[in-house]
Order: sequence, then C-alpha cells, then structure tokens
Amino acid sequence: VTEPVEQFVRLVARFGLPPGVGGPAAGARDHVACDPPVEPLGTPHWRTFLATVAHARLEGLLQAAIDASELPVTDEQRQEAGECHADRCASLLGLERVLLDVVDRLERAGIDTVVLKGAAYAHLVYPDPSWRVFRDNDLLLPGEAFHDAIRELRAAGYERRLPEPRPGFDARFGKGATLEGPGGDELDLHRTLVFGSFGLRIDLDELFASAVTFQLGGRRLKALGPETRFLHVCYHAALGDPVPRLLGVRDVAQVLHLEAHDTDRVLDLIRAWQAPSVVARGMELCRTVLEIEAGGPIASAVAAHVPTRREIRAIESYVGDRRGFATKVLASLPYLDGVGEKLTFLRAAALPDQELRRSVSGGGSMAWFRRGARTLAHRRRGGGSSPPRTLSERRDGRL
Amino acid sequence: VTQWRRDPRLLWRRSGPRVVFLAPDVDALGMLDGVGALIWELLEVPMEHAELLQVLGERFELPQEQLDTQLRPFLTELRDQGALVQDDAE
Repeated sequence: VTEPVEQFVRLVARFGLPPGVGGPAAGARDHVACDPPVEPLGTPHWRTFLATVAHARLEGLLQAAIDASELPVTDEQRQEAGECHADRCASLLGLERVLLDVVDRLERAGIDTVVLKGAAYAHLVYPDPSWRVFRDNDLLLPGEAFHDAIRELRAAGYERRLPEPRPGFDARFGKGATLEGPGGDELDLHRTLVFGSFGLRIDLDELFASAVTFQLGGRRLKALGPETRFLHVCYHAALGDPVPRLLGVRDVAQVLHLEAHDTDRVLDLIRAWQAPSVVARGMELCRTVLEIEAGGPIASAVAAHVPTRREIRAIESYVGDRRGFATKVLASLPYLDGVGEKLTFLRAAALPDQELRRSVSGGGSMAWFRRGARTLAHRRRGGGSSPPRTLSERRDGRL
Repeated sequence: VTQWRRDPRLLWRRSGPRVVFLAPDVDALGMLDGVGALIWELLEVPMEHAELLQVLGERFELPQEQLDTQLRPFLTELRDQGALVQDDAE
C-alpha cells in the first residue's frame, strides 16, 4: 500500500475520533496534526484504496467521512463508494435478520445468548450503526449449553466447520465453534472471549450477569456490558492477529471515546482476569496504528504494569513469531487447575479425535503431531521467547 | 386522525443520502432516497399525517392539497411494504 493510500486509509479508520481518547495521556507528545489531503486520489491509487477499505471492513467509516466532507473525492468516487456501502448495508441487514432468527430459536430452546462484536458494537458503540460493518454473527453461549445450541442449529440447517477435538472439550476448554448457515452466512458460537491462557482467566458468569440489551428489529438482544466489552475489544485487537486489524483497533479507540464504562470496575476486571498486558497492547495499538493517544486512568494503570515472563510468553503465543495452537496450549497449562485438568486438556490438544485431525491436517495422528512439533521445535531453536517488540520495550523501560 | 410511525421490526441503515431497509417477512430490500429519505428522518418520532403534510409543505413550498395527492399513496405503499405502521384514531 503506497503512502497516499495509507494516509487515506488511516483517515478513514480514525474518522470521527479526536487525537486523544479516554482522557489525558501521561507523557503524550504534542499532537502534530498532519495536513489533511485536499486532492482526491488518482484512479490507480483509488482502486487500491477501495480494495483496502473493503478488506478492512471500513466501508461504513468511508461513507461517513465522505458524507462529512472530510475526504476529498471526485463525484465518480463518491458514487462508487456509495454503491459499495449500500451493497454492504444489504448484507448487514441480511445478517441481522439471521441473528434474530438464531437468537429466537435458541431462546425457545431455553439457551441464553449474548451478542458479541458486529451487530452489538454497531448499535451500542458507534454513533450510527451504518459506520460499523461486519461479515458474520458472533454469539456467546453458556458452556453447559454449547452442545444443545449446536444441535438446535443443526436442525435449522447449520453445519459446523470443524468438529470438536474430543467430547467435552468445547464446554470445558474451547473458545467456540464456527458454523455455516443454510444461506452461506457465518455464525461464530463462543464459550469464552479468547482461546488459551487469557480465555481461561475470564469469569464467564460475569459476562452474562453484567450483560446489557440493545434494540434490533423490535426485539431486545443481550450484549456485553460496558466494562466486559472494554476488555473484549482489547482482547480482540491485541491478541486476534499478529498484524492488528484496523477495525479491531478502531473498536478499542471507539470504546475509549464512548466512555460508557465505569473506570474502577474495568480496573477490577483487568486485575481479576490478569489482563494488564493485553489492555496495554490494545491502547498502544491505538497510537501506533491509528495515531490516537489513549489516555486516562486505565491507560496510566496498565502502562505502570511490568509484564512477567509468563505474561510475555502468553501474549507471544497469540501474536509473536512462534504463535500457534501448540504454543497456546503450552502457555495455557499454568492457568488450569490440577493435574487431571491439565492432562485432559493436553490429551485433547495433542491427540484429538480422528475427524478433527482429518479436517485440519488431512492425516492421522503423526501428521497432527508433526504439525504441533514443528512449532515447538522452532520455539526451542529460537532460544525461547521473542516477545512482541512493544512488550520487550516495555520490559526494558523504554516506553 | 392518522398517525405514521416506523415499524419497529424493520431493519435499516442510512447509506449516504439513502436509507436501505429490510422489512419483516419480506425478502426484497427497499431503498429510499430524496424526499423518501427525508420523510424517513422526520418519522424518527411518530407524526400525525397533517403535521407531516405541513412540514413538507413548508419545506418544498407546495400547497398541502397538491402535496397530499402524492404523499398519501407514497406512505401507503411504504406501509404495504412493511416499513411504516399507520395508526388511525377517532
């Protein structure tokens, strides 16, 4: 992506936000406002820009920036962006109708649901739901209801993409499962907010107990409360991908800007879920990716935290050079209670049922083992952990 | 007295100057632009037909009788599409 395109993409990703969110940032540099572009992009750059925006799911923010005259575009570009957004809106409405059907079906079966991310953020976190685009639906379910939910949805034509590693794994250790609907829509069912060590520290009952509701299609659906949502956006942005997604980082900045959370309650959750490094990384990404300073008491508290080696290894297992399923499994072990629990988890991860091995590695036990061993051998050759750059800098006191 | 309001079951989004909507029990998407999108914005809160007529008449500087020959069929069509609800009271 060339420089002018990158500048336009960043402008879109941060549209509607001030240079600082969450409160004054300690030690923040003076914000140097770059001159906004005055000329529209030329055709080749516009094509790249539009493809990048669509890939990053920023069509809603692009439309809003154009509507507010904060992005120079030609009449033709305005029309093209408008058509892209209208198409995306059509998909969103289809997804929302599916979401209502799914929630209705599960509720009739007595299964509690909490909507995560997409539709919930669009209606609760952004000033206008058309700003926040999504491509699938995400639902949090109680672990004990996970299999009942999948059975209900199978009856409605949904197919699970990957089988459960071993009986009971989903309800005890798993993050969730992805299903494909009869109309080709994707539905992610979650038991927790993130797989592995950080997911094991989350108080799952709290996610349901503190849920709020939002209005959709004449019904009230549950969503995470402002405080658990605060942590969820940080988990997603900080641990979701080694190269952070623009929209995920925007969600962090948007939640900070919205300030719907109770600061003390968020700080309590960060302590209880042992997540200061994750929140710190989420806030750092606001600065490095969007050039927005995240400040205020939460930013100050997590900035003062010095991550332990175990924390660094845990973060590395998600976004470090040697990230992977095997490293996540190993990083999870300290957070499992008792030898029996650890062995059950290891057994399911190291020797899953044949159906999953076939789906993932196309072979038997040896192919599965080789897959995991490659990651671990690579980790040993590397002489241990290589923490993400920003975290190692934090340990050295350079941030 | 006729009052118009958005059907709360409607799924919709603003998209630039347009409004895209998906009505309950209907598979086809609907789209409003221009005056249609303006009426949609005005109906953020329920409005009596006479009040809507007055606002639009002032906005477009048109006699209400003339405007109503187009407005009423338009609103009725939106009602039939499942986008609006018409409440009639004595």
